[in-house]
Amino acid sequence: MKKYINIKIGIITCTLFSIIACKDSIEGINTDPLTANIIDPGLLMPEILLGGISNNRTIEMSPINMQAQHWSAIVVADPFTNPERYTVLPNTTTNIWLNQFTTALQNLLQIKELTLNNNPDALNIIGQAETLEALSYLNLTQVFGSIPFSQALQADEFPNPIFDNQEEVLRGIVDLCNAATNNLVTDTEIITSSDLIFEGDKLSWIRFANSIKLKALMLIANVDPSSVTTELQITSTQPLITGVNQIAKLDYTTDAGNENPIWKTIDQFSGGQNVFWGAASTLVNMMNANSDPRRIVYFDDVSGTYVGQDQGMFSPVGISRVSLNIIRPEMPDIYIHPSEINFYLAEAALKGWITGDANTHYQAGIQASLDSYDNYPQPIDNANKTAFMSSPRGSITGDSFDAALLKIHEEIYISNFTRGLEAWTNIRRNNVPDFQLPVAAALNTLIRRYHVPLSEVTSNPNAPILPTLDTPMWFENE
Amino acid sequence: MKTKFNGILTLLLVFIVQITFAQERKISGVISDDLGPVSDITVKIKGTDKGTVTDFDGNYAIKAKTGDVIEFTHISYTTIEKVVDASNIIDVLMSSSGNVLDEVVVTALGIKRNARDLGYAVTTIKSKDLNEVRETNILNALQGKSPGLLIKNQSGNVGGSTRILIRGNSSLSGTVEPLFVVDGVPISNSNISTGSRITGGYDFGNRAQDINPDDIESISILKGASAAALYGSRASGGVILITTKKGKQGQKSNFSFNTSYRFEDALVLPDLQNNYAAGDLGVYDFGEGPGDQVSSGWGPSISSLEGQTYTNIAGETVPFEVFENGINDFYSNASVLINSFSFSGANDTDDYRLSLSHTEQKGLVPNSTLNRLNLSLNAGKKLNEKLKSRFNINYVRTNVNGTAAQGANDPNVLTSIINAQPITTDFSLFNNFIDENGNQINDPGGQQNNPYYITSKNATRTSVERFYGSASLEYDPFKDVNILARVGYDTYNDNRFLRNSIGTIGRLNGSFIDDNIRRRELTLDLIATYDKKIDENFNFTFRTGTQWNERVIDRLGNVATNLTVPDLYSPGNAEVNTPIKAYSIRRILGIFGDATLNYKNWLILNATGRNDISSTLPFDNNSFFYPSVSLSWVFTDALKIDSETINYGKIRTAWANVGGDTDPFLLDFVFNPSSSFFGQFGTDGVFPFDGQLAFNSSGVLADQNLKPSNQRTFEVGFEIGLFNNRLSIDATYYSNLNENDIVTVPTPQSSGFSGFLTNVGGVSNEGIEFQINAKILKYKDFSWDINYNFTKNETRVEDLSQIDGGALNLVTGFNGISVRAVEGEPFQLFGSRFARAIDEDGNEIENQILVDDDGLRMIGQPGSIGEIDPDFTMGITSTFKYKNWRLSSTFDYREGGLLFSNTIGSLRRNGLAAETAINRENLFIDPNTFTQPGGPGTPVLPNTAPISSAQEYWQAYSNASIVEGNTFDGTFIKWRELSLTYTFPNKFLDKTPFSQLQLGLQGRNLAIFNTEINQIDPESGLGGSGSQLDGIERGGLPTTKSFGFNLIANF
Repeated sequence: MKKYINIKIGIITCTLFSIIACKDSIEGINTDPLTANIIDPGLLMPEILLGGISNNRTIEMSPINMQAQHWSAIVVADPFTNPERYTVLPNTTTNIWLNQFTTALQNLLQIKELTLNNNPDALNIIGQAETLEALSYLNLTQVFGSIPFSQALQADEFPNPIFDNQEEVLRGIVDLCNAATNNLVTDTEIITSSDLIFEGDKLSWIRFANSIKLKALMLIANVDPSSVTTELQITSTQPLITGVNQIAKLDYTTDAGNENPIWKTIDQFSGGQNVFWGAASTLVNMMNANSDPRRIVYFDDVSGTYVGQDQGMFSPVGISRVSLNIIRPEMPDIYIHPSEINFYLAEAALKGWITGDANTHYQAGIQASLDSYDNYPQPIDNANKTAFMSSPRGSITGDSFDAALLKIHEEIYISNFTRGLEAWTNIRRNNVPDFQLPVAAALNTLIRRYHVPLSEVTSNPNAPILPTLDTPMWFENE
Repeated sequence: MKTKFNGILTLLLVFIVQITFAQERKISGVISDDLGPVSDITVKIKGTDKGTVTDFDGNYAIKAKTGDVIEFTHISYTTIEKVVDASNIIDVLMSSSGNVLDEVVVTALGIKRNARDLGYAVTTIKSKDLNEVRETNILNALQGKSPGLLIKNQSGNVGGSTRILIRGNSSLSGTVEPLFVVDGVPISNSNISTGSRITGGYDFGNRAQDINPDDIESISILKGASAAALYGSRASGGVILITTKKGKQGQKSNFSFNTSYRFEDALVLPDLQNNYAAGDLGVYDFGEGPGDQVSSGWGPSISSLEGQTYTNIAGETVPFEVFENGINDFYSNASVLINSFSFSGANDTDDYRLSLSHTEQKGLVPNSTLNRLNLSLNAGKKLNEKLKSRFNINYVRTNVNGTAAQGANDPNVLTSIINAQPITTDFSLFNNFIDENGNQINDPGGQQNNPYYITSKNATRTSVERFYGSASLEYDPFKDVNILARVGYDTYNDNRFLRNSIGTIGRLNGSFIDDNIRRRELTLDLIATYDKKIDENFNFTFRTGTQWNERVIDRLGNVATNLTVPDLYSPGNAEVNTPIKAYSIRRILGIFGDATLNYKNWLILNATGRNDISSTLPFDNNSFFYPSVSLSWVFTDALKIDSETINYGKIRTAWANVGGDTDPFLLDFVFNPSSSFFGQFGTDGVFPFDGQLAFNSSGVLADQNLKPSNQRTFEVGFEIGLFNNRLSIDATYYSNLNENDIVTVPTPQSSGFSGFLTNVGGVSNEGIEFQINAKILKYKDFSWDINYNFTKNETRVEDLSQIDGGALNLVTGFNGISVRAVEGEPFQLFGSRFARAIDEDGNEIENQILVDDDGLRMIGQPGSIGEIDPDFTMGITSTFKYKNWRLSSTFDYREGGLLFSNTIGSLRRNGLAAETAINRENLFIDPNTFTQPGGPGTPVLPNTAPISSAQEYWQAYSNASIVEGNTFDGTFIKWRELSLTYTFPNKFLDKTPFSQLQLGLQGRNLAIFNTEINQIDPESGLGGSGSQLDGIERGGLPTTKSFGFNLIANF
């Protein structure tokens, strides 16, 4: 009996011992050894710029080049034909939304949090993050209109952010840019090597923030100029991106895996030949009328002429294609171009919102556009530049107000080539050029917006009823 | 042979008998009935306590003296007595009394219990029913054979996956698949995907397919949490408990051989129109190739093109001619060959069984093959009266080549090439797919690849090497006490190789992926059992034990892009190499107890309790306890009913509770180093970018107060045998509630996170299931038996109150389609619907679908399309026997449930589906459609606008963005199995070396009936076995039907 008890005790002891030993082995193993808890905030920058902003603006938003009527697809395949005829594919809207909010804005928030927690003096870093936040919100509102802004990115406090209307978003972007410049003027630590835009050049960042602010102000001014003239006047005197060497852009590279995804698409599907994107007649007809020297940069000629295709048609035959001079591995994603800033300044001056000479800004705008191709395989030679500058297109001096404004609006549209989102905004904001209804379009008018994706609508009870795709943006002046 | 052997044995005995007379010696034999060997016959020396029971193959061995009387008893059979004479072998033929209550059933932890003891439903499927028509994936072999199971074969890929659900989808989180246990040891049934399933995923199969069906003695399906309580948290989806074959006590060495060969063909292929060429609005664009027309089937009619020619894909100028069997010819030469061998034997102290099985399968897709080798050894040794040991070792090597991609966005999605060819396509032209320089030729145009180029140059290769097994030691220190210690180990190494050769349109620069997944699982069990007969009336059994389980997944791989030398898949040949590395570990420690009180063998009460500690939950909530209780009442014994009408009857009920954990590493907010970033159309880029490394923060936020999930189940049922056991019925009602499921709730992305991991909601499943076995006819040598099962399950989302809006997307596919849980409803297919008229209150009017000015349907608001899961399922197996002939056939019927099919949608949008040619020239008015010219809330008018063209009608109706237009009723009946076997009579075999010889003709999935889906197999799915992406098909491969023969020989 004693033996029996001893064995019993033995078994119980062994079991207990093993349980205690095992319990230790269970707790404390639930951390992924392949991740980090704290990192240098700059390490988040490449993901923000590539995964968050630029791959989005280039390939995901590539259909917008068609909707802006710069490009016309010359291939029959759903991802081209559907959006050109105004059936926007759900994955496009989902990816734009998801990448801007959860990759760009979320990691920008983390840059700020990591900085505040570990290096609170580094105000410049906060300023860089705020500038890019402003850029990301500007991207979003141009596509979707009303978006969460005041309650966005505050998961603890506002798990279901309300949507702010576009006016509130644009005014918020202005505030964000002001906060950014306030942080950027301090003499503090800045993200350098992983800053793929300016390598930590503080003045460039200040110009960048001010330029985003100017764009937001000019969108507001289109509807409610009096509310922003003071701010516009101040901004026009602050450092802005006005010179070609000040351009805010992300350069893709020729390194494998780092190439522009537009180029990569043609590289993978057609061995580097552009069999997808032709010239749209809306743009080409306008350029032909002006004998615009940029045609040689933008497009391949067809027997010496430039031929655009109407929207909603997809034949490659006899249509000028977007040139391989443009679609190259290192083709940049241009966030702010000096020409658009100059044209905005020209319009503001013309309308008397700011002081200064509209024609000077207008000419600087065209010059910046012409000059920005200087390092391209096919640049515009100086003779052609001079000829164009001295043609009637080269100046608005002596033009009536309407004629001058039309020229400014046409030239900003032409200069925003490869920047579909900006060109689409031009056409919506300015009603210039006249748009062309695509053949077999799903709408009766120009597409004005994309739908907020189902993934947001179904998870956010504060999402509003979606306006139809032909509902104008708030910034449009009907 | 047998007789001769017996003769020699008898002769030997004559010599020995003098010495051994009155000595105990071993008597053995095989007990059978007219169906074959029978297990669980009690074999007892009359007037003593000495006894044993027969095993699954009817074998027994007992020590007896000459002159003893051996009693063979079983409730189902008439008792037989035999007197021991000089022979050591006594074989007995039992005649049925028809009671199934005393069958032995393998339950949790491998504990064998009498069927009468169980308070819950268990379906046991024996080897011969499982392998009636052999399958390469055992899950497919279960189709139609058990109530409570929903089994979906996901695609026609060889080695592809099969999804199994027991008693409905109980989970919001997707942890719904049952736990697989082989001989007491949990093994993996994982289905890990390489890449996204949506954008060109490859279904490399669920790993339960590694189990060799020929090694299986029986499968017990433990359906409720009660049956599974002892397996803990992982068993909330039920348990598939597999017992493997062992060497038989008292049986001489046995060698058996089994071979099957079947031809396979596509079960369902798209039903295409045969009258219209490619083109747009009835016009063929002669300036473009056939693949670059606006559509593949909206061109002019073939007869109108009489006399005209076009340039085909090979560059030849040919007339327009219809090639009707193109697709069928492409999928060809499929077959499956299974050979298995086994040796087994046993004596008093040792037993062994060694088996070798080889499967060679050719798929429908050219160059797709599956090649599997199974080696298994199962050996036991009785070391002394108190100590027994057993080893079980399995080695499996599965090589699969040429798995076709499914989904979208990948040049290798084969069906989106095959199913998009104009009917004028001469598929034989694709046979030449490369020129002498290795460049792709004869591609179909439209940015697509020559399908043979894909299947030859881009064929995937996977090789899985798996080892699983266990070692156990059983010790009986005292009477009534048994201690079991067991180590179970399951590990596999899954090497995958995916490639895009240089020149693949869409991936012209070439790329490849090496993905090496290593998984290992270690389970340690220590279980003590105390079994005491207290008095005449009471028996008490108590078990206690502890289980420690560790699961580790280690993944290492490389994504290589931009290759230089063609067909050289070495990292050194790639411009960019992006390594993949992943790791996860989880552990769980359980302590459990199980007590059974048996009163007079007709009232049995069982209670269990288990406490788990899981590594994946927050420290404060990582320990959780859950109990179960069940009761079984054999009323025929209790009430002493003994009639010819009611032969036996049992009522049972059970209640149980199971807790659950989550996946590892989900709690912390972390920064992940990123190696790549997303780009549409496969333009993903890699980090470092311009020399800069990149990190990304967690996309999902985790609730730091996460609790274990909980499932409560209740069931009540009865088993009854009637009319001399000619009819037996087993019926169950069950009701489950799964609460506090751990789910990543999709959050507004504008909050910065796409999801929040938290405890959410409640999902209930309520259902009835029953099984009827009827011996309908039995006359002389002829008999007809039917085995019928029926299941009706209703899933209902009981509570989503924590989620604003009361709805949750379980999973989202392309184009906004999702599987959605909505409070108060079953799981729904959700997505954009047709636009409908809107009433004054702003609500949609369900039966008033709107059309536009051209009479075409439009995209409307997203909403529920309907229920995914079937209304009910049933299976029926009918067996006829006449002398040595046996004819058996199984049908499987599924009623209801929805299927979204992009394949069908695409065939319609392209004008290729047969239905698009009906009335094509007739510009009809879409019936029962309306217009609401004044906008929402204004009067609704009947539509009077005829469609502008059939093309526009179908493109609007089957618009890729409108889920409703591409969703179908998933009802079908499948003829699962047919087998005709002939067993050669013994008198014929006496002159041969065979002890048994059986020849059979057999077929699987022979036909499909009663379905509205005419283009694909309605079982198809995109999600694979482990995903909640149910009811959604895109780019799926056709499944197969097969017919062939089978030979079984025993020596």
